[in-house]
Amino acid sequence: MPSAFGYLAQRFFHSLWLFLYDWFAGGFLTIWHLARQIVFWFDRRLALGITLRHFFEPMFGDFAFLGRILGFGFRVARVGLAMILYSVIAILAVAFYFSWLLFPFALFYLALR
Amino acid sequence: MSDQAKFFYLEQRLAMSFFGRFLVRLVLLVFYSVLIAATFIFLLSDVAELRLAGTIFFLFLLHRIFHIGRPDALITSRAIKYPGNVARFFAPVTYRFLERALDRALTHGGDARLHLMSFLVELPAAHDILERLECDAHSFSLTVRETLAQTATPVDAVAVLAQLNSLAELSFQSALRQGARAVLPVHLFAALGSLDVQPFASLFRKFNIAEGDVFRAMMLRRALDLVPRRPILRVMPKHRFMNRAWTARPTPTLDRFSQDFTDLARIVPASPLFGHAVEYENMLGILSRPGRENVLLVGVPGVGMDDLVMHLAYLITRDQVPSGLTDKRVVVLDLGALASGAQLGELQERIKTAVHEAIAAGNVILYVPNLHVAVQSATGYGSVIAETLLSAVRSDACSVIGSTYPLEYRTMESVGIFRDTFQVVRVKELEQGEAMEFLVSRAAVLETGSRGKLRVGFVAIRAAVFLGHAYFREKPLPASAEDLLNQAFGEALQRGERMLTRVHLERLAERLSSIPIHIPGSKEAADLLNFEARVHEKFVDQEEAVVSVGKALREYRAGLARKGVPVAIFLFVGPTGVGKTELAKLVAEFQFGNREAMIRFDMTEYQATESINVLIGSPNGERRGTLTEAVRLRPYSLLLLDEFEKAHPDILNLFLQVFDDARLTDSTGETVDFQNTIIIATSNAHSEFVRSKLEAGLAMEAFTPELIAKLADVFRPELLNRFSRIVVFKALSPVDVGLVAKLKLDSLAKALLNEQGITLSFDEVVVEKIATIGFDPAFGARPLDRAIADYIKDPLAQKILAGGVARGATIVVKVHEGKIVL
Repeated sequence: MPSAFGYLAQRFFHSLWLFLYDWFAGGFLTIWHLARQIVFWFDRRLALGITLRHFFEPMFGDFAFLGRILGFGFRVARVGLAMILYSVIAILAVAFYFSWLLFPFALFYLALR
Repeated sequence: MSDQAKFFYLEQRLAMSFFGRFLVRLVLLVFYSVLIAATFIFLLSDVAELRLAGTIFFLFLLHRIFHIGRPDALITSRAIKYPGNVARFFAPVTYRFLERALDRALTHGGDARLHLMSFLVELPAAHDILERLECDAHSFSLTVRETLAQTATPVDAVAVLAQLNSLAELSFQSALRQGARAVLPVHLFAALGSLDVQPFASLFRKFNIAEGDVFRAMMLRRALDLVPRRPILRVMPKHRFMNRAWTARPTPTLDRFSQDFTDLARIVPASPLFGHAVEYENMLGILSRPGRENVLLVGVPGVGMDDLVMHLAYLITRDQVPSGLTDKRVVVLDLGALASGAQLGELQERIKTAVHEAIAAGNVILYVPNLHVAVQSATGYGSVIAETLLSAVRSDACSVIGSTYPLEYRTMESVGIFRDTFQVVRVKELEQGEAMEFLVSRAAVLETGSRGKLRVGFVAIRAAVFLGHAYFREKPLPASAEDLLNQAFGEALQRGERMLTRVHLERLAERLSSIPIHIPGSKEAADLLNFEARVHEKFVDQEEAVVSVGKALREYRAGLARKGVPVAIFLFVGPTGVGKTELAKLVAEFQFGNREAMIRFDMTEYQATESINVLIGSPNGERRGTLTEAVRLRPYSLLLLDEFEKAHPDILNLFLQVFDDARLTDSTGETVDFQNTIIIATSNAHSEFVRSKLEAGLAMEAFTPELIAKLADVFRPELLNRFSRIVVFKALSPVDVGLVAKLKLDSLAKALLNEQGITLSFDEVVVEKIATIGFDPAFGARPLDRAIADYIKDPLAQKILAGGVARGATIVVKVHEGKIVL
């Protein structure tokens, strides 16, 4: 029969571990999933991968010289916009995550000051 | 190692003593009280180190508050990859139920699981589940308590713990199957519902709850949670012709004569596919191949071919398809709209432009439902559509999905282009389990649409699937079941009912199919119990035949008839004019309300092999079979096969399958079900033998076995063996003929009074005279009708037409000087 105190000790350390896990690993996973969802939402409109696959195809099936030029231009703009946007999202996600990580230490600093 | 073996349940607290658990609670309570107090004090302290400690405590408390009521871990695909203790997925409330059951069992004795059941039954969720299983929750709860009281024996703690651990593992499986994130008390209830051990098996059987029903009813509740409360606001979905790669082109002409499934798929929250997993994978595999592969879906109407294509469109919008199909549009071409109001030239132009646009766009998967219309149309329009469509197919420039029906496909098969360019995917009818899943989601939509005014019982859903499959074979599952459910729901909602039950479905199915499905009421039961007496009010003698038919009908309506065979198959043998056909007509009258309410075949008309095509339909499917169609439209009926021995032997062989399996496949490949049909075959075979024996003074009983043995000369032994009963009809004696004459004269008098208001009066002498005139040993009672016609009806008709008989008059029939006079 397990002892009550053994169980309590185990639960105490488990709670501490869970707190640290939820804060650091859980926080990372949450921010990662959120960032991923945001990127996917934008990608359904900007379609970076699909645009790169069809990069040299003209838009609207317009195989005229002007059509090809315009298509190339628009695609470059689209890819550029997508890459900038995704980079911003990634940077923000990383910044947010580090803020999250440092938040307790910031609180400790304020508490100690 | 099996999946079940990976997971186990081990909750340490359950293994502790009562005092141990109490101590744990007490220590935790004190700990958190002190922690909360310390946090406030430390945060407000002037000492920096204490404020630091208070901050740490605060964050820890926040984390603990966030976890109140939650399990240690959520059930995710990552979490269940590794074997382990599933106790971490149990919500605290679920643990408390298990703990209560354990304590109650240890203190009061009895099965801990029964104690658990008695607690869970009080939950609103369990109440709802029981109501949807048409089970009175209060009665159920009382029965559980009674069972507990009867089985309250001291228990061993180790055994109880093992039982609860095992149950907890089952409840985890239940939560996993349901897609839940944590194991909740309702999953414990579902796990209890899956137990096949005593006393649970008896308990559930008493309330007509089958194994797994609780889980399925729980799935219905879950489906309700998934249906959006508010309807989708946009009536018309936003049309998007451009793909994400920006390589597509507008398709204005195609858009005019089509519907875009991908536009629709973008606005629906879900488009699950029930069943048809194999068909979907096949279709996807064909479409994903390099080059433009084309698919031809072949299935009966209502089997779900449109659902398959809609599901494809839905997954395309979610990017859950192979890369070759991403960014495509699924466009449904409306052949009717194309041809509508257009001359041949204009139609040609329309179809050419539409197909050209689809090809030029490069991102269109064209879906053409009822593709056979394009092939079979006799007006020339079809050929125009077919030629132009096939040009697209041949050019490999555009993927085409077509759909057609099995019979129509046979015609298309002969056209080489279809055979060579389309890959056929046969879409089968859903299994009953799959149909039930479909109907669960459909029921959730109906219930949500009624804003909770009418709830759908799970038993009603199961009844809809069963009844649709058994009695409405014109459409396959799930269409037949869905139609029943929709109609029953609409009617019940109009009547202001609160719960749609099995009885509603059965009543509706009975009304639509004219098959008695429900348990007989008192009147019907009384009629069945007195069947023989009722028949003998209009039928003389032939006791064995009447009793045999009565027994078969009672067994059928009591639900005891053997499944997989017709209700009963009788062979009535005997001389002509002794009542074989008359008894069949009486059965039709008593059972179906009308003497002529039977399907009658005179087998003398089927003496050639080609007659098979008349019965089951022509090989090319142009003409449906008289026998198969008649039984398909009226499955519960009496089938009378007169002069059975005169049919061609090939036709007799056809009936072997009917008698054995209660099934007959018609020329189109559809199977007709004879399980609700009473079959009576009559035969005059060896009537000479019967007559010679009777003339020799032998009683029927003396030579009946010999007669039955002689029937093997006429019918194959395997056919004779399939009759439920071979009944030899006795020859009528003069006394019998007299009784028959009286019945016929009474019937004539009754009809005359009801229809013309004329009373016909006659005495026994008249009856005897008619009986004497109408009796012929060779023809039985058949000449009676002629005698009544010649000596009573004809003179009466002359009097009525001459104006000598007014309404309200009385005609007295007498025998005067040996003649019948009116």
